[in-house]
Amino acid sequence: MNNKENFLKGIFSENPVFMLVLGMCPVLAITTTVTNALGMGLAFTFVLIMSNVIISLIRKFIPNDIRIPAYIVVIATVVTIVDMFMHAYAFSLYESLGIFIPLIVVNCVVLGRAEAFASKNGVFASFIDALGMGAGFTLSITLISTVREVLGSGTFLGIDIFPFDLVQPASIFVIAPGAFITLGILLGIINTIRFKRAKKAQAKE
Amino acid sequence: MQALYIALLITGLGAFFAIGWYLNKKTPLPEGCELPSLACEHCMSSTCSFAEPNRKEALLQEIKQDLTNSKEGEVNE
Amino acid sequence: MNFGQLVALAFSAILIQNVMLTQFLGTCPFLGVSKKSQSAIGMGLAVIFVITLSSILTWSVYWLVLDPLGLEYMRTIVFILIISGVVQFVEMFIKKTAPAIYKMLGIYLPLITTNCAVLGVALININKEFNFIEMVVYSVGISVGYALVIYVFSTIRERIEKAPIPESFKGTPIALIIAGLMSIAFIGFAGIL
Repeated sequence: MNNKENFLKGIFSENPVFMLVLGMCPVLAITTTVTNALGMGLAFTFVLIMSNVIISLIRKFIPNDIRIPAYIVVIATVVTIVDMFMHAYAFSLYESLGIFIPLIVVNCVVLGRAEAFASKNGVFASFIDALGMGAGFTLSITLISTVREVLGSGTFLGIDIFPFDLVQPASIFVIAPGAFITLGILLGIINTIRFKRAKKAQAKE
Repeated sequence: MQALYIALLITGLGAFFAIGWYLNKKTPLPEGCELPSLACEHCMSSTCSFAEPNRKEALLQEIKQDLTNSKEGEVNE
Repeated sequence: MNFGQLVALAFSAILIQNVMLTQFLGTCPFLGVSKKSQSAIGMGLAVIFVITLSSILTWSVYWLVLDPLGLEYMRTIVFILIISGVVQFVEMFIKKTAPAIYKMLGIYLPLITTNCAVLGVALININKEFNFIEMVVYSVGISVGYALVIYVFSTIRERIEKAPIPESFKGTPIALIIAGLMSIAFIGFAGIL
């Protein structure tokens, strides 16, 4: 597939959050504010790109049987670097993301792309694939966190958007159940849109 | 000095994993464990090696099936 | 830590700070393996095995090897390698000694390597600076809480199969909403301690 298709599939047809439903742990935990989501998306995209590129470069030198632990070591190294970098230069983000930065190592998306794509394709294709998946992930969690932050605490990027206490925010959205319910409803809405499109395509035939 | 420790540590752990993996590979599956029937429904990934093949195709087929069924139902009524 | 504090810690790990419903660790198998209660029990038991063993090992390696050598920053890499090794050993051990158990939970063992809960609990043990006994109590509590929640969740999902749900909400969306309602229920436990 050409590069444009490669990139767009990460955002639409194989969106890791809404279509593949993979690696949901950070999605549920991080999306309390939009700033957190953007920071997480950035870290995630960086890890994905670096690990895809490195694994694509060394794919010919790894025997097939031990490829999974080898990929895990590469990804863990990249994540450790990102972790220490954020600890030094973005400390407030590091504190709010907490344990979920090291947990990018076991995120199914990162390992899945490494095994499914980077181990079989060239460096540039892997780079585009990682960029697409990272962009899809970031856009998805930004959407979820926008819903949760606006409805749950009445702010957006930390700025109050309902002045004069016009609307009282529903704080259920920023605690644990809100994550599940928001994600469930958003997934339902997206499924409805998908099925309607499939119906239209079917009707045309 | 620290680099030496790190190299030793990673090699040691790699050996730990390799021994475990090798022993695991050598022990045969007990009788009655047919793994294909326990095919994983973990996630919607079309590229996973554990999953049943053609998951996406199966899902699209299901949607089309439902649509044709509902169309026939409307025609009959 | 005296006995009362350990009981409070266990309680907190199982119910109040429930690993799945409050801390969001281990979501992927929770949504994927919980369609039948049979597979949910298998997954829960496998998780208890692996989390307890790997927590003990990772805690020991951290305090006996990494900390004296000043290599704390290597913990992510070291922990994930230990967890992969432990899973291999556990699988081989179960294959040899208890084939009946292997039939129930064998296929889930490789999946647990990339489960957020295992690595997450290992890291939490270090962050909270538990001593050995607290670490064991916390890890067992967490994994029992996980097994409990995934089993209850699977029984609810089994019953919902027969309910009239809109087509676009079947599967994952309704499962997430159920999990949200369970999470609301578990908030009630916060007042116990």
